[in-house]
This record gives sequence, structure tokens and C-alpha cells, in this order.
Amino acid sequence: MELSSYLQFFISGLTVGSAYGLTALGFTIIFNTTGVINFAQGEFVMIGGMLSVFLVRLPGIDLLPAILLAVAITTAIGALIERFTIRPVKNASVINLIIITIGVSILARGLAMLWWGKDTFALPHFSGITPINILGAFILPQSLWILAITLTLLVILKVFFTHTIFGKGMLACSFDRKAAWLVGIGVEKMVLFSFMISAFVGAVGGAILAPITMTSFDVGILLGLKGFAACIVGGLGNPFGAAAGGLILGVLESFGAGLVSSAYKDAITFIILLLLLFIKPSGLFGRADTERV
Amino acid sequence: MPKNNHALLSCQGVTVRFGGVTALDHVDFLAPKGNITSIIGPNGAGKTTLLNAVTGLVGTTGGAIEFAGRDIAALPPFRRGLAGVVRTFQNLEIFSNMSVLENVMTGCHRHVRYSMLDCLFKTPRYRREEKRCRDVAGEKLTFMGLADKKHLPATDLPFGSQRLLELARALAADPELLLLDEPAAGLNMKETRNLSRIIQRITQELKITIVLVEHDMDLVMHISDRVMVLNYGRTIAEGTPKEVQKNPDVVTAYLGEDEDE
Amino acid sequence: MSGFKKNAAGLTAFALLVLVLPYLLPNEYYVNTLIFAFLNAIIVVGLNLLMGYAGQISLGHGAFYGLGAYTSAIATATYGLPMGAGLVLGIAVAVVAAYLIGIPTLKLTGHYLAMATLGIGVIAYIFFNQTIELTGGPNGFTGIPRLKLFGYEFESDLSYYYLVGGVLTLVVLFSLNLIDSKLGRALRAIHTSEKAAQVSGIDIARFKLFIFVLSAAFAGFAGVLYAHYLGFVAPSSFGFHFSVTLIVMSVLGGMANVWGGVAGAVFLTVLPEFLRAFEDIESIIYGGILIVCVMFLPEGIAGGITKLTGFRPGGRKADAEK
Repeated sequence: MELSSYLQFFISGLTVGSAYGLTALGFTIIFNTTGVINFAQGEFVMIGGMLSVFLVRLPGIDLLPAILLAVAITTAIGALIERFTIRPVKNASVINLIIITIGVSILARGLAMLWWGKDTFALPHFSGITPINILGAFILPQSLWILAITLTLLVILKVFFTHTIFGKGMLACSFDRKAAWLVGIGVEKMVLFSFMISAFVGAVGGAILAPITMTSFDVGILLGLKGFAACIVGGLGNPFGAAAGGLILGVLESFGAGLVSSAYKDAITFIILLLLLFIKPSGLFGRADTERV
Repeated sequence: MPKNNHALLSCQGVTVRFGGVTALDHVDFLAPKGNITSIIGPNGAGKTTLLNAVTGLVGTTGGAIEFAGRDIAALPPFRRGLAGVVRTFQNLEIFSNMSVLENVMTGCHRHVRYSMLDCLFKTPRYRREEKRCRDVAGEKLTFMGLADKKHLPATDLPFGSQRLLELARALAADPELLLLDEPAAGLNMKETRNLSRIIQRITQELKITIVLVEHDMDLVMHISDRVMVLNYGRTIAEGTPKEVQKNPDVVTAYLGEDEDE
Repeated sequence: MSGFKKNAAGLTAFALLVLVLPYLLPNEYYVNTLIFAFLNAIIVVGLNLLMGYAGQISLGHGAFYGLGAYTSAIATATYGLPMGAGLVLGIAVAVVAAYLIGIPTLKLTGHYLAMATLGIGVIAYIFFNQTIELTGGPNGFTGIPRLKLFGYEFESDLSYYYLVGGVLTLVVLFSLNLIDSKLGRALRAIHTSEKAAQVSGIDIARFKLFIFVLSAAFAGFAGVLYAHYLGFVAPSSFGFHFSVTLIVMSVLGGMANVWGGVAGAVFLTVLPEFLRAFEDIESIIYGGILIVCVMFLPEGIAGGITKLTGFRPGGRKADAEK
């Protein structure tokens, strides 16, 4: 097989992997601040994409404003979810929290289906569909947009978490909520913020990916699962690991689909996920947990 | 150190490390049969860690643990329970989804003998064993003075009674060795005195060997046969209660260095 | 033994209800609905034992339902094996799969366990979809013979109804007996304090595996009955959507309550018949139920009834607020 085919698989893997990575990042941010795995994370991606599609169809709204508005609305939805379904039950058991976020995810999907129907929709490519020829592989401009925006977002978040008070406060919550609370960090606000940032990140992912992979009311399920798998690959709780995990998973899936079988490509991700959970749940970059008994 | 040949529990050179922290550093500990042996020390000294190591909830990075002459260091926690090593917990671990009686009946688990088929079809063997289990549980509850509260949900009991409930559950297992982790924590004076009497009765009437981890010095000094003192994961003193109380290292450990010295 | 008397009374009442119900229905069509309701109930009772009593979670139980259904279907229709063999094989495959999967999976807890079981459910679904030669793929597997045991063929809907109703009654009986025994106490102990359970001599890993396999056996059994009733099975009946539906039924009825499991399953199977636009708003209702129940009714319908009347219908209080 030629270099160009490998490059093709690689780039398309990175493209899809970016979506997984951004979803995984969303999981990680919420998990780090609250210890909760938000099963509805995939729906943020779905809503971001779907809202973009429908806003752009409204008269007078161009692509960029549509996307910005969609992301803003999704962020607000993230805040609402935290306020009304998570905060009231913050002391519930893990199983109950899992069930609530599953409930939110199903509810979001149901509403999306009611409003937008079951069809698949496409968002216009950001800068046209003429493929660019790189070393024999044909790359869509959208792929480059995806990679560029993802990278930018990662850099912005990194700066946010390490150089701003708010970001550092959220990190503090992830290490020790009680201690953070004791030193005056408003933990409740941090939790709210974590949901908003995760929604933001997810929505951006949904909007930039929609032109290539299309979007529909139920893309959230599989994306959520793969995003979680990416978290595990990179080590749950590690934002850098989550993004890297997403990219790795995307590339593995792409090569698997290309070289082995496209029908079983989804199964590949889950088998990887299961193997990791069984053998090394701390993933590639996670610390092994040393807990004080 | 008392002679080894009568010790029911013998820990030699037990070391436990968590990441970079050495919680226990080559600790020797003996619990002679029929005695009440106490372990005391400041917070963080490693007392609960020692109990965790003995019961298998924490792994050791070195040393030997022998119970009734058998090496138990490789056994998983439930097997040590089956062997007759039972403990209570510092943070109460009662079963909140069961009644008081059921909690204690669960303690009997290893002595109740019937198979799944027996319980699915409620065979005579099932009925017989369940009745025996209920009787034993009732007996232990009476011993603790909780018999009249048998059918209440366990969470309805006040804190002091819940501590006794956990003790009753431990007794229902008919242990040879009973490890008590700060059983007096959170109890008032009257409850502590009651507890003190009960622990002595357990040793004298039921012939159970007890290892007691405690902060309440009055309790410890009053009922212990021997006391061991831990600090920063190391044994700093061992002897009778009187000997230990007079030991200058122990005083320093608890009160800190005198600044003028 | 008032607990035993309550169970006996409840079971007798239920058995009578099952016996008499078809004659109270306005339309024979509803017997068909009740058959599906009872099949779901069989699975949900098992799921309740796993989730409500033992405190584990499974987001992929549809896989075992499917394994039972497909195995028996393939054994009888493709290989012409007798029905009894199909039944045994169906349950056996579900049990063996659960055993093999359970060993590594049940070492996980919380989110990891949830995700692992979800993954397993999805892998099973993909398998049913892709092994076209064996299972017929997305178009499904047809030509499954009606159930026939000891020479008697359960031809009519009514006869099948009584069969499934009888199996459900037995399943409930066994579950109630299981809870009221040292095994039941061990499971409940594992739910609230694994440490204390171990110290009492309970082999945590073995018990978790046991209840996981048992709940898979129930699901597999239901799957066999399903396949030989409908005559046709397709992967879409066993996927993530169905697994989540099972969870909703369990939560709604009351996770730590055997009768709650039956109630939840029956209610949610029957409900679509009365809500014409149900299919469109199904997800919204399910999502709403999950959210509302966890927030306000952690013990489901059964818990609500207990609070109102003080009567505890064969269940134990789950530790929902831990």
C-alpha cells in the first residue's frame, strides 16, 4: 500500500479523532471538577452541530454567526443541566448520578428528534470542498480547519487552567474539593463553569465536524462512548491525555476500517476500551492511584 | 516482648508503603491468646493501617503475619474472615439496607450452611440453618442489650447503639481474634463505660482474643493486658499499661518535644 | 415469619391475577402486550437483583436477551435441534458469556463498570448485525418455530401468556427466596460495605459474579421465550436502546424491590399502547422518568407505595442516598 493511502487514513483518523478528543476533553473537565462522568457529553456535540445547521438556514444568518450562536446556546444549555439536574443531587451515589446523566442524554435526544426529525443534515464546509493534494493524499480543507481549531482550543484551555485564577480554581477542585472550598473557592460556581466549558468544547467539536461527518439527532451516543474511551486511553482525569487519546483512537479506527473491515470499525473502539478497562484503567498517561486507606 | 509461643496473632517486621509514604516500618506485634492487647499512638501513627494489614484490606511490602500458627499474609480478606479474624471499623460500616437483626445474621455468614438450591426451594435444611442463624444473632444482640430493637432498620439506631451493633455482628461470626478499631470514638462517658464492660466480658466469657486500637487512654489502661505504642509507623514502646504510661518516649510522642530542651 | 407470609400472600395474589387477567381485558390483543410485559419483567427482576440489591450496574443487558434468543433460534431453525435443546442452549450461552465477561468486568466499579457493560452491549449488537450468515444480520432471523415442550405446542397467544406468566411467577418466587437468605444478605452487604462484607467472610468477587450470571440467565431465558413467540428476531431489539429501557423500568419500579421490577416492566410495556404518539415522545418520557425518579423518588413506584401505606411489598430499603 502506498504512502498516500496511509497518509489518507492518518489524516481522516486525526479529523475524526479531534471530535473524539474534544468530547473526551469535555468529559475530563467535568470529571475533574465533580467526579461525575457526564453521560450526556455526546449530546453537547450533537446540539452544537444541529443548532449550527438550523441557524444557518435562517434568513440573514451566515455560517460564522450561526456557529457562534449555536455554541453559545449549547453552553447555556450546559449551565441549565448543571443547575437543574446535577446540583440538586450532588450527594447522590455514583450509580444514581450515572442514571441521571443517562436520563439527561435521552431527554436531549428525544427533544432533538422531536424538533428536528430523524434526518441527517450537513453543514456547509468552512472554505469550500476542493481537496488539497498533500503527498498524493487528498485532504479536505475542512480537515485542516478541524485540526487547527482543535489545537487552538487546546492551547487556550491550557492557558486558562494554568494561568487564570478561575482555571486554577477548577484544578484545585479536582484535587480536593473540600480543601478548595475551605480556602474560599466557590465550588458550586466551579461546577457550573465546568459544565459550561464542557458544553462549549463539545459544541465547537460538533460544529466543526458536522460538514464532514454530517449530523443527526442520535450522533451523541456513539460519540459519547468513543469520547469516554478516549478518556480511558489517555488516563481519566488527564486533559492532555484525553485529547491525545481521542486522536489515537481516531487514527486506530481509521486504519482499522481501511485495512481490516469497515463494518467492524465501531467494535474496534469498544474492544480497545474493554481491554484497557480490564488491564490498565489508568490509561497511557494516567497515574496509578495510590489511595490512603 | 512476651514469648511467641502463646501468641494467637504474630506480626513480624510488617512494612506497608503507599506510594512514597512508609505507613508501617518493620513493626513487630504479638497478641497473646485470651488477652486484650492494645495499640495506641498519635493520629497517623499507623494503627489502622496495621489492622488493615492483618485483615488483608491493605497489602504488605514486607514482613510476616501469622494467625494461630498459619501464615495468612497471602490470603484475600474474606478468607481471613473465614479463618476467624474479624474486625470492626473506625468509620462505622453497618449495612444500612438491612434491619438490626439482619446485620448480625450477616455476621454469621460463614457458619450458615446451605446451598443456593436450599434457599430457592426453602428446604428443611434452609429453615433449620436460618433459625439457628437467627437464634445466634438474637443471642449476640441480647449480649449487647439491643434485643428489643431487632426489627428496626439499622439506620434508626442512635450512633452509640450502632457501634454496639457492629460489635454484635462481629461476635456473630464466632471469631477467635477480634480487632476493634477505635470502638469508643464518638461515644459519651456512659457509653464508653458500657463498652469497657462489654469488651471485658467478651474476653472473659466468650474467650475471644482482642486487639484494641484506641485513643481513649482511660479505656485502654483500664482493660488492657499489654499495650504497644506506635509512632510514625514504628513501635516505640511495648509493655503493661503502667510501664507504657511511664515511658518517656511515649510521653514525647503524644505531647511533643519540650521546647526548652 | 411475617416476611415469609407477606411473600406467600403476594405471590398467591399475583398468580391469581395472572390467571384471571385475560378475561378482564376488553380485547384479546392486549394478551399479546402482556406477554411482552412479562418477558420484560423476567429480565428486570434479574436486573433489580444485580443493581438494587447487589449495587452493581449493567447498561448492556440486552446482549444476554439477544444471546438467548439468537442461540435458541439458530439451534432450532437452522440446525433442527429439538426445542428442549434450544432452550437449554439459549440459557447456557447467556450464562457462559456472562461468566466469562463478568470475571474481568466486575472487578470494575462505578463509571468504569457502567461503561464496560455498555461497551459489551454494543459489541454484542455489532456482532448480531454483522454475522449475517449466522444471524441474518440487520434484516433479522425468520422462521423460528413456536415453542413446543413435552409434545405440547403453545400455539395460541393465551397459552403462551400462561406459560410466560408461570415462568415469571417462578422467577419472582425464586428471587424473593434468594433475598431472604444468607445469599440475599451477602448481596445487600456488598452493596453498602464491601469491607464489612469481606470481614464477615463473604467472597465479594464470587457473589458479584454469581448475581451477574443469574441475571443474565433470566435474560437469556426470556430471550428464548421471546424468539419462539415472535418467530422472528432482529438485532435492533437487543441494542443499547433496549438495555436503557430495561434500566428505566428498573428505576421506575424501584431498583431494590422485586415486585417493583415487575411493576416497572409491566407499566412501561403497556404504556405505549395507550399513548398513541408514544414513539415520538418515548425518549423524552424515559429521560424524564430517570431524572425525576432519581431526584424525587429514589425507590421508584414501590418506594412511593411503601412511604404512603407503610406496607413494604417484598423489598428492602435501598441505600439511594449514600
